[in-house]
Amino acid sequence: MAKRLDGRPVGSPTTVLVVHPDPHDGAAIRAALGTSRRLRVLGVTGDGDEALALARRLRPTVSLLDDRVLTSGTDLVAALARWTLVIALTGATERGAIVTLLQAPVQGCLTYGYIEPPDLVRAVHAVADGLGWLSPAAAAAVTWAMREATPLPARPDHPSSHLELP
Amino acid sequence: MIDVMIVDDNPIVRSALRGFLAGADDVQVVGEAADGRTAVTAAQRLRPDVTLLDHRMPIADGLSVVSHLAEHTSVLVLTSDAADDLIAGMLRGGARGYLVHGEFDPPELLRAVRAVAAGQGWLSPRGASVTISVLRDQAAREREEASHADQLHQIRNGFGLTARERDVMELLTVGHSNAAIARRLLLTEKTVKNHLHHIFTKLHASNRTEAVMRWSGGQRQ
Repeated sequence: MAKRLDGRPVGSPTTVLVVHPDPHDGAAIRAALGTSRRLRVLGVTGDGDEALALARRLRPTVSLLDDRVLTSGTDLVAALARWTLVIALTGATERGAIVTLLQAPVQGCLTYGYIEPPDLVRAVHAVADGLGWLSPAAAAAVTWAMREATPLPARPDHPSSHLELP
Repeated sequence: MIDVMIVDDNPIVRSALRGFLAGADDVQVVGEAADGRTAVTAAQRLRPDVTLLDHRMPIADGLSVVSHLAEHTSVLVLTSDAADDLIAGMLRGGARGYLVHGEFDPPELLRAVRAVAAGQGWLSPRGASVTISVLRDQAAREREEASHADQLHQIRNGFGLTARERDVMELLTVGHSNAAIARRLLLTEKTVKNHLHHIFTKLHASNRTEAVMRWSGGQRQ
């Protein structure tokens, strides 16, 4: 069941790349992840292009990506997701914004203000195991979207079920 | 104080959950139920802030009552069953959280209860993963439908019908006869026939069925 994108055997440390615009916060995240012996942080960067180069070269199992980090031209999340599993870190609080953010190929989302250091570790492990992780605010956003979801509309190839042609 | 109700048919599970929650000063268990139907009446009476809901139970299972419960209480599903359809069904039915037995410890249960009571959500890693993919599929489907609607709009504009001919065409598409169309648009049947003649020419249709088909985006045979 365990899906290891990096091809390493289950049981070897999960590797992580931290992509955060604030070096201080980036270091704090690295320290929080360092409390788990099963995690190894390969790098911390605040630059999108460098993040992409690191991901391509080092193939971290999981990347934590702050949504303020941008890259020149390409869609950073989609580009990163070719090499690593991605967890988004966001300051967004509005439900619709969080749901939109989750349309990108990410496996999890942590919303600032609700993140406790053990959550970072659990999130990385959950995503490395092929599952997902949503912080309480993100879980509230997606469960709201599920409740609001409209039922499947009629297929357009059956335009009208009460069609009565002479 | 957060009032909690426990709904599970297994008395050992209920007692274990009671034990987990007993350690917190801000949480009290106000009721228990062993089946879905009893749970709904109890929720109506007790209005607990949070209801821990199992799925497999006699008389009425969790999925069948989740939307009724959600009217009176915030539902946190707590079950050993983690099938994708069940997770999606529970959340569509109004559940605010989903925890899977064996994947959480007592502190996490308390955090989940507090989060749900505060209007946030709580999803186990499997719940999070299923929900993210369900929402992404849904968005992809909506984009596809929007693009289909755009195409249809373009096709229809391409026929160059007048506003009145469009009115006639819309009524024809939902199956109205010439007489009915005439009554609805306050026209004589002869005028409707004239409009239809022009519509058929513009749509390259030789009869009503073909016209409707073409108006609905169908290709010429």
